[in-house]
Amino acid sequence: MMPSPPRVIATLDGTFADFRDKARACMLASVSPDSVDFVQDTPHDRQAPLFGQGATAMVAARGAGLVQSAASVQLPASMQSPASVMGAPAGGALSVPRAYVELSATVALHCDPRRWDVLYRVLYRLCHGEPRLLFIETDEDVRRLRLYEGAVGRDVHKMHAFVRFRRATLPDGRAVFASFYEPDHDVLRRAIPHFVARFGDEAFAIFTPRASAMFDPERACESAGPASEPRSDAAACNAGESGAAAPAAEPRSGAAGSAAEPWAEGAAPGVTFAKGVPDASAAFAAFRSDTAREDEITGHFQAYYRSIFNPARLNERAMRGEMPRRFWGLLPEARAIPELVAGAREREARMLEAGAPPTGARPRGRPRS
Amino acid sequence: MDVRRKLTILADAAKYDASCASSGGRRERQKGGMGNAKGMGICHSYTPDGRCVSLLKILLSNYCIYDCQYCVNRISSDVPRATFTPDEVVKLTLDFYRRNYIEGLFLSSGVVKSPDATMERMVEVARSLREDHRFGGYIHLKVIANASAALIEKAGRHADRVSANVELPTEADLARLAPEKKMDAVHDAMGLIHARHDEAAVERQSSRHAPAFAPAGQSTQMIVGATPTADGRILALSSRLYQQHGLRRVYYSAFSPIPFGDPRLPVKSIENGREHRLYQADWLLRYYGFEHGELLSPDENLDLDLDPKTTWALRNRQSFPVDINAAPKETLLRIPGVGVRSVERILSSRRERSLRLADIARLGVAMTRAAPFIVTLDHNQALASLDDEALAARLRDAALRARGPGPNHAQLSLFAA
Repeated sequence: MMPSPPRVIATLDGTFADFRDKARACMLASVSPDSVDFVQDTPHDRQAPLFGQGATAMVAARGAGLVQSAASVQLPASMQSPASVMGAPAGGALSVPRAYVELSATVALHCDPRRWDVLYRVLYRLCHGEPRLLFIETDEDVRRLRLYEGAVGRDVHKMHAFVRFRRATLPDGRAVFASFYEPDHDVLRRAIPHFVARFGDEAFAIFTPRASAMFDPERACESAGPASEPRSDAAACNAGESGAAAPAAEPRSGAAGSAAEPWAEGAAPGVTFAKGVPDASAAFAAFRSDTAREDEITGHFQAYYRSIFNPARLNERAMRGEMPRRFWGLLPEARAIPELVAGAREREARMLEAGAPPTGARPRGRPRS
Repeated sequence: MDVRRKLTILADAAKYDASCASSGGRRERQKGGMGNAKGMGICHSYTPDGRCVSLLKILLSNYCIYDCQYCVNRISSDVPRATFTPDEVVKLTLDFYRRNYIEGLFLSSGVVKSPDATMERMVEVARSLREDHRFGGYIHLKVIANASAALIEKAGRHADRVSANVELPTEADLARLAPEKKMDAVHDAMGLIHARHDEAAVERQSSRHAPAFAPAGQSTQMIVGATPTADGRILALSSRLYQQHGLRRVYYSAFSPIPFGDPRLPVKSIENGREHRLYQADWLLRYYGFEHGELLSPDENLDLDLDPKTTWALRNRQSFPVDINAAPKETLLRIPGVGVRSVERILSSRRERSLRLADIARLGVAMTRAAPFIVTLDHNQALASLDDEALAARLRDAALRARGPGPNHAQLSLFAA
């Protein structure tokens, strides 16, 4: 029997940046995909390790680090041409196709713990004689990455679709449109720019179990960067509207004080992110205290949803395919679904009855030519 | 009458219009305003009929002076009536949009007093949303039959999409069921919208500030199954509309039994399966390079058990097998079970290596349908059945099995090639 090669355990914090650093270190140390496991060390994993017997090795590897042999690695010739550079490590540059960098940044958001191993294997193959691997859509590894990518893209799209805002009032009397949402993957940051582009004229907050985001148009005004999305509003603020000098709502008015301040600066102007749901946040407090009160607008929308449904076309399977049951709890209109489905057959029968000619035979089916 | 009650009546009256797309428009959020459009539509919810809720789809009024037999709002129908004020529609649109329920507004109306009087109120809703509230979301205005060119012009200035419904596929069908509507008038309206859309697009190329005209183009709807007209004529008309008037979409709405229906109408459950096959054939016209005449003769109907591409391939076996590793793109697109995305993946992959059967299977191709029609690098056992008389029956059985038990065909994905 061949002795198995010494295994490397790369412990990840679940972010793309961390994977990029560890993967780069492994590449520069010529660690083959077969001899490394990428293990995500999130608090969740620590409570219930996904890789049973690897847990001790994981702890050991964390102490040892992975960079010991990085400096002496020769880059293969196939890595000279590609378009972009994965950062600038201490030990030397590692060039990979730009398409891989973009793809891996997206795949990193997926929740499957095995994604890191596939990402590293593809990275290794790209740099070891298969520089055009990503064009081979029929390759099993590439296909898997594309499926991860597609799932993340769909999750972002579903978030854009299914977030439901409710008007909440902050202690200072200002309105914030707040929402609680549960994406399947870690897509909050990816999804936020869409909401800023669309609703950038008002404050809004989106809470998810993993992270939360808050947008404040006045903060967007203050930090009007050159590439900022709500630039036009920022320009208006800077042109001397009275709102420009008003204090930003969330970070400064929180009664909890700076020590408990949950929000950190985000990438886009006016957006701040927090880990988990920040209980100390005034926006969340306002959102929670308003939970019981379904406002009038929600009621209008529920009425609309009931009326726009055509019972003669009942097709539950198609609905569930696009809007799986796990989303229903987040959607105020979905409460009506069981009743609408149950009533549909009966209502259709009544319509057919009402539409029937008073006498004579009922025409059946469509004449065929 | 309160707004909730009006909404209930006027959404109920609008639900027979199939179109709900919010795609194609591009609009930046205005300074201090709300809403944008990024070209890709979003379905914010789905009702238990499997249809998407993308726009607030309502009528401004369901009073109507016309008497179109297929329409629930015709003058002789005994349904509850209501009329929104333009302000009520504006407020509902803004409130729903702010809560992320919708992408925008799709407004149509029964004909109150006159076509122009009705159209004018609809245009006022769009104008107010855009000018008074700086609303940047999607607006689709239905052109009221026989409305004046001047009002269509105004509608296109504020809306992302304006559309005129052909309603029924032939002049004779219209004469029978919608005597106030004339095919010529519909074509005139479509021609006008098409010309203004293209003009505005050209003007905007030279000046960013030139006013837009319905930047998301136009669509139309045809009711299917209310008259005996065959699918061949329906597809021929669609083909003409795409080519002559540059339509973005033709919607097919299977005739749905309506309350207080006219005795001249068929009384039956709606033909979801037929509607689905029409959409598939429509896709073949727009994305797969087929001509309508290749698929059907004028008095022929689509096969309800088999998708139209498979039907075509079975009738044209002399065009097969297709070599996956050598055939041009337009030929790959004609293989049953192979969609546009799969063709792109095949083209990308085969530049790097020759493809085997297992490679094709990995791409999401429907292999039961595709395998008898293709040549790959390795041996393809299914190819032996290409000239087999029984192939059609086998594919039909496989399609029925895949569909499983169910009341209709609508469970199939629209995008299954």
